Amino acid sequence: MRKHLKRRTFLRGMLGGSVATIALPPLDAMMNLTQSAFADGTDMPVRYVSWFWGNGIMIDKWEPVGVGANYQLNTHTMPLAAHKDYLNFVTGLDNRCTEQITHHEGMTVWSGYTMADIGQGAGFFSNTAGPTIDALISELTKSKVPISGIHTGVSKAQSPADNGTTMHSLSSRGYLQPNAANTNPSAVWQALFGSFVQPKDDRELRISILDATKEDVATLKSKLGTADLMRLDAHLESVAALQTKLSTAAPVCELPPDPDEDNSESLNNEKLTLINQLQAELVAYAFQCDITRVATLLFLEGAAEPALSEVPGNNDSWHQYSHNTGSWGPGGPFENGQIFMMSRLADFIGTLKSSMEIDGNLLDSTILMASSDCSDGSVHAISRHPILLAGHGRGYLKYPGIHYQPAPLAANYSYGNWPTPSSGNTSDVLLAILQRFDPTANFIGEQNGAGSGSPLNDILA
Amino acid sequence: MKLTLGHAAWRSLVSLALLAFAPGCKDGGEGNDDEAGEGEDDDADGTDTETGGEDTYVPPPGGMRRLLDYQYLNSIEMMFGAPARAVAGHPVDLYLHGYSSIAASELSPGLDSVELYETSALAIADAAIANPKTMATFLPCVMESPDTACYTQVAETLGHIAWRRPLTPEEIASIVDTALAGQEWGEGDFNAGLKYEIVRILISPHFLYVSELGVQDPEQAEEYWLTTPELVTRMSLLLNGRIPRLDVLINAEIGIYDDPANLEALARGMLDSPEARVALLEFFGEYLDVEDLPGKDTAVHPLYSDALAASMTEEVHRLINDIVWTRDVDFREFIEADYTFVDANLTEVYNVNGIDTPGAWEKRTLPAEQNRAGFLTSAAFSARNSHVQGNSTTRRGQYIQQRFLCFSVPPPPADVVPEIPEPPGEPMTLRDLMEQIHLEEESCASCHKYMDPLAFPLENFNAIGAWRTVEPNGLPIDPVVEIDNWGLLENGADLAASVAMSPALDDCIVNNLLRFGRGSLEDPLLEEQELDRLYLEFENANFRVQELLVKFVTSRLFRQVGEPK
Repeated sequence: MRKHLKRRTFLRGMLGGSVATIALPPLDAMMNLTQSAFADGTDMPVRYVSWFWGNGIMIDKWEPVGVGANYQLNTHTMPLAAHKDYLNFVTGLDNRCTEQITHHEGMTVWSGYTMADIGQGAGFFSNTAGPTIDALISELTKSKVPISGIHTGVSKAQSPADNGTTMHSLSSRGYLQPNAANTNPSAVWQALFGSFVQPKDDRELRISILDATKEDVATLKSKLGTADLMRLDAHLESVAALQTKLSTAAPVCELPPDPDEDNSESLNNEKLTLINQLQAELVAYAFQCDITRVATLLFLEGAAEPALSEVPGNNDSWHQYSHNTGSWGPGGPFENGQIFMMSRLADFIGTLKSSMEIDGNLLDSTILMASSDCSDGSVHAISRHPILLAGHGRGYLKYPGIHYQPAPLAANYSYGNWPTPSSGNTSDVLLAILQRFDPTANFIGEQNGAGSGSPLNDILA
Repeated sequence: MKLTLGHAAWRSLVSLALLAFAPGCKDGGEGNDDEAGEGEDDDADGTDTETGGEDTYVPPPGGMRRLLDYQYLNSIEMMFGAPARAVAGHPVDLYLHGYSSIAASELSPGLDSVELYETSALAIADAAIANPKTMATFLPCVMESPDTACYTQVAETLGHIAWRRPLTPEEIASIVDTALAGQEWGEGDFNAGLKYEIVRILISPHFLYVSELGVQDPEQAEEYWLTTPELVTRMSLLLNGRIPRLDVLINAEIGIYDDPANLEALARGMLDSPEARVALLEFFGEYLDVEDLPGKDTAVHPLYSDALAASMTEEVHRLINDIVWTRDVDFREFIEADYTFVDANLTEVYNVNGIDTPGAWEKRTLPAEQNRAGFLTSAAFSARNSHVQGNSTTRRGQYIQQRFLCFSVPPPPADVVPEIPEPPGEPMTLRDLMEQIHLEEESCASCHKYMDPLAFPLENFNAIGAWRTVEPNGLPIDPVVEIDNWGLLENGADLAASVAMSPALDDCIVNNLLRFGRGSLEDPLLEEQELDRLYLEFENANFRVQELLVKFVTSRLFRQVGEPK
């Protein structure tokens, strides 16, 4: 029996026999008079989410109608209507990736780096070259929470168009350092909450054991080359992450139940709606308990081939439909799929919105960036790369939101072409987001390429 | 329709691809065998004794790699028994260049990896203590004399096995300190100390990461030879799917396997173990990728079920086991066997009868009119490389090119419009459609000519591998295609025979085994000399996989590394 997670079951302290060792969520008594910070001076938590869906959009039905505060949602984003105040659309910007290898270049929208190792070893191959936005924010927030970030996924389908890491990694700490998307909600639960359940507190002992293994690392380091030293450093980071989790936890927040769902259905028969919802609830629960402030959700990889069995008319691969504009007609399988994707995004956003804290809901404290690997997926276009921001990050982004667009879509655009005009730089959005967490950040991504030193201030409050 | 996709053309393309895209197969084939030696060692002066030429072999870098999930679980079971294995967990293996072993050599561990290993170790330790018989076979004190001295024995012996080397006195002392701290935390309970001692050993990078650094060759400074313990560990992980037993480690440490005859005997002994069959399926699981078959639309394929998909995979396992282990014959039979294994779930797919007992498998020759031969006409191949409803000649052709001929079809050029043209209004067969939209337009045909035509002879097999002569729209299927050097292919059996006889297949199998077993890509330029030697040895062994494994693990390709990466 699969379990949706119960809401508002916090702050009960001890559970029957097991210690609920979750970090402290904000309580009235802990706040300063304006409820803008904890009484000890630390800021209220701001959260970040990356949400990805593969194979692009039907741009004339996705980009909002009109600009500024009075924009109207378009056909395919209507499922988000209930959350419109919390949405900022950014359209018409250029993804400035400097290379092309079908879908890979689209992932630059998350990092500002052109992919590395293109074609190495096999035709469809590349690796993410630098850290993604979520990883940068994790670095900035990791000292404040037990877990620096949680990386979730929905479909298990892997893109056959990448024997490297780019298409599989919505999140990456850097070159050859992917954060794999966990598509198993029960495993996500274990990662977020499972280790806190101990019949007798042995955390001090476990921390000392982890300390001892650091000496083992030192022994190994003396023999290794540069690449493996980097990997050992990553191992040490993982040791430190667990030690942080063990040493900062406090027995306050009740554990949610294991959702008892491992997402084991075969490809083409996956329960995408259910898995997305469970992952959303786990992320929301973790945010409320302040276990982590960063999450990613890889709904469906770009160029992945499953059929979306929950979508009316979808009896072929989603990737295939994206390349067949003949399936893009009204009520056709690709259009139905587009609405389905936005409905699932709406589910995720709605879950954050319905999760209350003392000073509002989680959308009030979160910035969620949603995007795909293409604009027009039939031609792998990365001009006018779509970006949707949800939540305002505690008054940082405009609320109610706006539609920022430098120039409208050309009237002569038709499916199967790179949409024009396209200007600016999608990395400007990344830098604007990053500055919410690090006001001193002045650049993101690669120099002389897809990176940016000019934040998109138009979307700021 | 004649398609100019002959063997020679492929060979040329493969050669180009080796440089540009895929360090896959060697160039040449028949007629080039004289370039390779007979497998003897090189002279110390750096000349190749067989060819008389210069030793040009340059091994790949040394380094460390993380234990793969199945290697971790098998090792846990060896040390602590099945109950411990049942509660063990591990990080999910990622893939690079199609293999988890390469990812385990090159990608950094995830930030949650240590937590996953620690959670696993805590559960393993509890299970091992509750079921101590396996551990007691090499550590009787845990049952017979659970005292402080036993903590030292555990550190020495379990540490030796898990870390694949004798521990230093300082390391033993540190581990015993952990045990004593655990015992104190447990208010004097021996097992509390034992639990955290086991955890200490299992979450050490010395257990989780395999060191393959070697020692410098005194004659050639840039080359290293794996130490014998490193070598037997690498062998055991490949051949038995786990870390070595303690007796093998000790024999390695005292130099027993420095004698090539003893090393070969060790390899053959490992292959005699039942674990070898399971471990080899791990390789084929990644090479063939038919372990988790995609679901199908049951409105179109009412026979499809999860049970049928499981039987499809099991059929492939049984065919491999029969060829490699039961009969130990030419592996090319896997591609063109005139028989297969069938259970009750598969009877309707293959149109055979008389197998009604669930779980019963029979070796059968399939109906002659279906022209089936080996894996390429199997249900698993068909299902893996099809859509949810219909067939895909592109997927099937690409699979054959990539996995059996080691030719990587390049991504489309940047100026190619990858949009699928509007299909014509009138009913067509899939083949007619592909010929029209993939093969007529040069921008599409430049890549698709390597894929779709190869799969036309397989069009008689639908998306779950069932025989058909007409498409769902009633149009008759035309499976006949002519391919240069391969001639006229009239059906799936003809295709299978051509693939099986291709020299590219033999080399491709070797290359893929090497990728899986070493955790690195082969380099067709720097490693040409030793690759050619292994290709020839595989051929001389009549393409028997057991013999290939022995030759591989005793070759320089397996035993040598370069500077640490």
